[in-house]
Amino acid sequence: MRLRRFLRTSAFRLTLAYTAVFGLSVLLLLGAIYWATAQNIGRAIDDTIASEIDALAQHYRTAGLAGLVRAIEGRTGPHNVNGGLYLLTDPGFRRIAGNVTAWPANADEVGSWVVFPLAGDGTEAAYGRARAFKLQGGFNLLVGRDTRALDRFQNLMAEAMTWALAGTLVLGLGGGLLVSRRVLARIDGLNRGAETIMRGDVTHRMQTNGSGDEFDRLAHTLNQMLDQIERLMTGIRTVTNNVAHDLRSPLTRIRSQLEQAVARGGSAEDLREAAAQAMAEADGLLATFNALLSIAEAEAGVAVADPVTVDLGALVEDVADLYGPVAEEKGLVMTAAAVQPGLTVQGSRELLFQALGNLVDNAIKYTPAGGTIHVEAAPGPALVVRDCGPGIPEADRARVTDRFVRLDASRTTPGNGLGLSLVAAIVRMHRARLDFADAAPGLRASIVFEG
Amino acid sequence: MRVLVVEDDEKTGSYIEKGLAEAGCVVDRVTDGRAGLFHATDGTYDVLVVDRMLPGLDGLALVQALRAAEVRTPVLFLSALGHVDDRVKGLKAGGDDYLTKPFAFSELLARVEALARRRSEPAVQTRLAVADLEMDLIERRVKRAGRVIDLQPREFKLLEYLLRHAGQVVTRTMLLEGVWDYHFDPQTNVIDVHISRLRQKVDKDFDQPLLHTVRGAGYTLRAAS
Repeated sequence: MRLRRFLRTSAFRLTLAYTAVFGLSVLLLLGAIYWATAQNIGRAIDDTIASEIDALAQHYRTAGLAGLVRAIEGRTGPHNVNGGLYLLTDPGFRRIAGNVTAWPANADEVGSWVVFPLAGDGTEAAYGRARAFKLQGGFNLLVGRDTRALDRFQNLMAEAMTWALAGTLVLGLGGGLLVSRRVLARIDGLNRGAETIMRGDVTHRMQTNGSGDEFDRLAHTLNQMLDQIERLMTGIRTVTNNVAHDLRSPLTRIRSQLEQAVARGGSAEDLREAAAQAMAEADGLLATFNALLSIAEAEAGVAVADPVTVDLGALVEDVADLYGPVAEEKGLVMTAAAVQPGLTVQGSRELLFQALGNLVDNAIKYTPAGGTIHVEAAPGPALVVRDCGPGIPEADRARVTDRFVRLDASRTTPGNGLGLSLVAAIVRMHRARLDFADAAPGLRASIVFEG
Repeated sequence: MRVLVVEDDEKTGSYIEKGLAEAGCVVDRVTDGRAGLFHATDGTYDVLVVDRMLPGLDGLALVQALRAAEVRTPVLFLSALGHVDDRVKGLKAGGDDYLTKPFAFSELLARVEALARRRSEPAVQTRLAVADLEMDLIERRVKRAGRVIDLQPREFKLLEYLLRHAGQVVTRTMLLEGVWDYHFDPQTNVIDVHISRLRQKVDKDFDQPLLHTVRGAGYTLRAAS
């Protein structure tokens, strides 16, 4: 079972393919060496034979038949270590001198190369390679070499190469198996980690060994992904808890109002009053739901679906026009300006207005009476709202855009803690950035678009 | 007033039907696009309330087919998701107004009434009036009981909108749309502040208030009955 699984792994298959390719290249290399060596040795022998024939022919011309016989006998004597073969015959192919017993039957053509069997010592097949030459006067001369030494050398080489090839294959396969087992073990580790997490242990993480290799990096990336998922899950849980909490209070209030109305009874006017109160509470609930839906909607969109050119100056003017009276009611001075005319961005006019409106609304809510609020379209391009309220502490700036986060723990100011979440979602949708800075005193909130 | 409701969701459909019937409308309800088209083609309805997502024939196609057949009945689209581009698509297809679910029934009723009214009112008006309040649209002047009332441009637009819908309930969202041309639920009291300022100028020095708050719904401009 384990073996079958092992044989199916890609690591093993890769090893097999690699070993095959490597083996083939070793085979080709050794083959080339073998062929070149054999060729060279053969050619060297042939050259020696040719030059010996020339030398013996020279002997014959200068010293006659007797000189030739002497020369042959000298060469076939005890000094013949190279396995030289010589045969001199008369025109009738009868032997005159030499160490070959009979003229080979296949050496009938003068000047041709022949291979013929030798008597040998019986331990191995012996062949001679020789060249026939016709001398003046009809004498035949055969000069050759015993090829046993060459054959032995070639056999030895072939044998060595076979061993080398076998060694290559064994080492390649064995090494491959070891490597793939190691790889498999690492992957199995990741697999087991994932299974553990799937079984419900969401805090489990992949093991890293600190080596920084690919598997370590993969495990690290997976861990980061898991962290991100856990963060998101925690976020969703928090939101769900907050939704439950924030909706329970108004629902409880509605219920008790209705309960009291039912218990107390009273005139039609009293009942109408109680119903109207319940309705107002329900409207608040609906508003919270609508805000959540708007945020979800803005977050679901990766980008604005039908972007139009939005004039930021006009947007600032409109916001000031809508919220100006609200600020005045609270005794605040609101000023609006477009620092530079003609600042435009591509996006949704509605959503950007809503985002800027929410920022201004917050500014109005948190600035004490007598203060000032300034809204402007600045180069960048950016939309900036500056107030002189308490600002947002540095440490809280990152979390104020989370849903239901309200910095006043008592939750006495009106609001549902969703305003900035919607702003953040709209800003993300426009690939812009929401910055909070200290306006000393007060808060400087800006939506900065990518230039 | 005859209203045709084309809505496949049973609960929403019967909720709208019941509410409109209580408000004195004659309501027919169908649950798919084809039946909606069939009913609407005879043109005897004052307003159509059409869901965007319908079986058979979706809301957009239904209204496009109606407009192609020269049926001009005002259409109020209902949609589960208030994507801005959804809204634009609905209006481009020939819809007259657009409402996102979930909605308060008062919002729906106010819009249906506004659509029905729009159909019957004359195309060009130069003068609007309720009781002793009159508005001259050409001279851009407002008088109450013969006394000139000085209004800011935005206040003038707000009063004009209220006068055009005199006797009807207008919601805060409708005001934000009609006067400021932004379409979303303002959620805060911004509109209320504008209304109270207008009320200061229009009603303060007079015995008869004209600008009334309708609890849980919005505002209405009418002479005291």
